[in-house]
Amino acid sequence: MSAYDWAGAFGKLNPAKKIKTPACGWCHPGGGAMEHPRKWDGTPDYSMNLVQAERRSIEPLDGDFYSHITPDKRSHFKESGVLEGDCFICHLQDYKFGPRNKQINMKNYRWAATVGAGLGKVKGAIFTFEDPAAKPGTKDYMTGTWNFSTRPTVTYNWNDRNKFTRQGKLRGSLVSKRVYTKSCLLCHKGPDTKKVGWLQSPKFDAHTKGGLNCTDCHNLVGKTEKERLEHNIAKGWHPLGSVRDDLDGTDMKTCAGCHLEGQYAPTRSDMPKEVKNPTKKHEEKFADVMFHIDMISCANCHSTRQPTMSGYILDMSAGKQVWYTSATVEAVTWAGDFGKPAPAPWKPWVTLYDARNGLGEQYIPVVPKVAQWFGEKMPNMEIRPIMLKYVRKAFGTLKNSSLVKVRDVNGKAAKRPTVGTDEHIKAMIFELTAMGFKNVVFVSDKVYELRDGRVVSYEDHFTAHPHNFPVHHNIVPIELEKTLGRKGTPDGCRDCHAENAEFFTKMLIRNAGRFLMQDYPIPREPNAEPQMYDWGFRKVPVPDELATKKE
Amino acid sequence: MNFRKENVMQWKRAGALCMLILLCVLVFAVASESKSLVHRDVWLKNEQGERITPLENFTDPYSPRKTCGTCHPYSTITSGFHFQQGFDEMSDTFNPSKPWILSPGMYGKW
Repeated sequence: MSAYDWAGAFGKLNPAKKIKTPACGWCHPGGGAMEHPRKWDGTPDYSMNLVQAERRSIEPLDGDFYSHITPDKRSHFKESGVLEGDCFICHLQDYKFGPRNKQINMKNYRWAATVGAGLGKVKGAIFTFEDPAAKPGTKDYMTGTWNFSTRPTVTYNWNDRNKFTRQGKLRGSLVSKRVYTKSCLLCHKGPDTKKVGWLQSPKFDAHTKGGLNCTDCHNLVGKTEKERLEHNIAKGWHPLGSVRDDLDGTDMKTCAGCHLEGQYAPTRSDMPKEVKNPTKKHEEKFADVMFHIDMISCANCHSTRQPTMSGYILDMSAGKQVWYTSATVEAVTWAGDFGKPAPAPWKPWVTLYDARNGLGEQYIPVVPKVAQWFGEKMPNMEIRPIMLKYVRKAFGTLKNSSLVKVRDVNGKAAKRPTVGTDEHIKAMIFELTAMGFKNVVFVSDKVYELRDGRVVSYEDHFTAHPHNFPVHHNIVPIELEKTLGRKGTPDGCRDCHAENAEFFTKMLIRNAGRFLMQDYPIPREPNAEPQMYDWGFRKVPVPDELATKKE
Repeated sequence: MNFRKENVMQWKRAGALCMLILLCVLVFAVASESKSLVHRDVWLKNEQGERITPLENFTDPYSPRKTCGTCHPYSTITSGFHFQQGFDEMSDTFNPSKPWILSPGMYGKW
């Protein structure tokens, strides 16, 4: 995607019609690639912005100034402007994120910051949707009219004395040095409810209840004022390893740092004066078994109630993104469903992970994304995904295309497409090969391919494996008595060391298509397995002293 | 008797003077503290760096670069990862074994 499309293409929001397709620019604060071009070698060119660079670009095949969406397939930074780094997204308490993103959807990049800061109204648009209610997949989803001749105009709220002085200066009192949690949540709330079912609420999060902001743990990185001015924000550890792993843990506050090593120090009057050190309590409750504290991360016992639906299964086998929720394995109807409150808070899954933070391998809580999709196998055995529009076309030709009966998040019966049998896999591979794709494979719990006309499979633990998103937040307030092991030995041990304890036995779906066709809604072997199988356990380890007591 | 009364009055006057001085010092301290916590009022500026006022350029959108960047190091601030998303490390030769990956961030990722 070129920068012009990366900023605002395909962004559409209409909650009343359950339409939410984010543009990349929605969750990007501007600057960087949204503002500057690249040099001939692909490195950034900070000497000019995209408007100036576009003026000089005369090559019709210059990919940096191409567009999938404009009538002439060229970018229009001259008319749209660029998205500069918008300080007020973080440094203004009442930032208008929705209206700002609406300007981006209209390709009014230059005007987005003005509307986001609530400084005035904008009249006019570079792009106007023909049918705001047209949904993804329909003919008119992205159709609309382009205006490259009349520049949008701003009407400032000059009479608003909270915003402007009599002369027209912006009131400095609007600018907040402190970054409040609600600013972070403008971008992070949606993705984090989808990834892990997280909610920044005092009811579900002890740190929120204690009055902490995101920035109290996720500080600006750097030892000096100058380094901190670079605005790199401390980042935790992530098993996915797909974005800036070198920043994992840099200057990040940790549970142990504050609660065990005395590093906590309030920096504001509304922060707790001190924090509890749980060592004595742990030693009382887990005498003789304190080795658990090293093996198991803090969040594993203390984050036991994820409050929102979240996303779990992502079925792309039919050429669409068909999601099912973590809380209830129900079909998602639109992007807003991930953040819906779950019928009851639920426990995350657990995996083994070495964060390379000196603590070794630990059991950590995660929410996996179990996917299935079609791709092309490369000579080096890596698999390149096939674009969904081609998969959709191939799926449409299946004579007995499979629809499965499921439930959606509103409790209604629904049908969803999937690929869940060898016959379907074979038919899809044939169809995609006929379309010109080479070495087509199907990725699910394993990698499936055709050999001598038969569907065969092989293990690939890197590709055919769930993507795990760690649960670092939502530490349950201790008074709710939902912490694992809270009763101490021996009763507390049975929270995990019991035949039916979720810590070991929570089912993890392996093959989404077969689960949907054969087992839905209850995960069963072999299409799902207890998560402990991944750790090398075939049954729950129950010490003799715990096994003697009958439930 | 008169001498004692006069002494008491003197002490009272001295005490009142001390209280007044203390009050002034406190007011000054609070005022200074308050001033240092509030951002100054600023002119909005457009892309060209011209002021936006009720009489000039009043239909132009404001430019964060030209407005905030008048006093703050805009380039340094936007060098942070949230802004760059890998763009500052982008290169056609970033990953020779996977040439479609151009940076360590979301921009330039395939």
